[in-house]
Amino acid sequence: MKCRAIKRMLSAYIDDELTSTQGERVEEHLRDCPSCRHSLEMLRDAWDILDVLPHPKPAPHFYTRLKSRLLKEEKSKPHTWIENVLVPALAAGVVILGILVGNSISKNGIQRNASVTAEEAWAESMHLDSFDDFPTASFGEAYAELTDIELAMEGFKP
Amino acid sequence: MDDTELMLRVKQGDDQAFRQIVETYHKPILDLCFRYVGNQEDAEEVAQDVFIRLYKAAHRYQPKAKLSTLLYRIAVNLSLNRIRDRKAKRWVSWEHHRKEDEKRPLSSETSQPDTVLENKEKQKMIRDVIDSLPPNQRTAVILKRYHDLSYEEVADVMRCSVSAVEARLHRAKQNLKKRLKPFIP
Repeated sequence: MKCRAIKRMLSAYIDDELTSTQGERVEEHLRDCPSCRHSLEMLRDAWDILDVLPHPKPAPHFYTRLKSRLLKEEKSKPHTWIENVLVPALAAGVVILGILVGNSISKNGIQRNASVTAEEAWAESMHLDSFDDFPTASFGEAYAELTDIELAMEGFKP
Repeated sequence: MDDTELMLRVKQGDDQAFRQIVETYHKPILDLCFRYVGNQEDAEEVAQDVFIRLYKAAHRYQPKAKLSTLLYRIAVNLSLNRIRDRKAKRWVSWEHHRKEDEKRPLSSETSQPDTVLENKEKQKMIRDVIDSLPPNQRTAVILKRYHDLSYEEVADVMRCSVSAVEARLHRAKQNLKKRLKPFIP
């Protein structure tokens, strides 16, 4: 087998991932090929040196802290039927109630305005405005005052 | 009880089964996360995220893949997310590291022997070399080298073919050989 093909297999050879037949072919070639042996050695050294890196130390109480986080997340999660159903339903109810109350208030207001207008209209038709006071500082007011004084002199209270 | 049975119990709400899973896989998952994020604190946090994700998804569990494969897959994804988030906040990290560097005593001021410091420097450089690998190669290296998964298991975690794993590891080893040459005696 040629060196190029062998060198492509060296990585899997190091990882023990070749079939037994493939492994035997590689080993047979390595016996007679110093160049491929050198390539294998370089690859192995680069792979082995990764062991230099330390492993992390598992902290104690990992599970306790994990459980605590889960509980916290559970508490902050919205309770499904309360917040997803009841709260929106209540909010909708308040809005509907507000609309109904608002409608009721505005209707009463309209009726009161209408009745005042009708009253005024009736008074006008009966010429009851004739009995209204004279506007301030008018000749009518002055005449009425004079008339009041005359009546008072005759014993009538204004 | 095997992992599938345990996980089916977790699906039913069995907390003891969940605890058993956590205790079995805490160390390898922490190790995997550590290889990506590079520090204990972040690795612990991401490892917790992995188990929280598993717990929350338990109701949808189907015993199609091995539990270890699922856990590794979640761990790889969350670790990569953490690295991406960190890169996005790089200026903060740079500031943090600059301040940390200022706090760190000079080698002449420390009581640690030179060999310990040398080892730490060496470790840092080797970690940098691994971090410099393309993501797929780095993941394949971490899963194979530090967790001794078979090519088939690595392929399951990475959702690729076995030949793709083989090619990635071959290229990764070539890259490591080149970049780690100064450190090889």
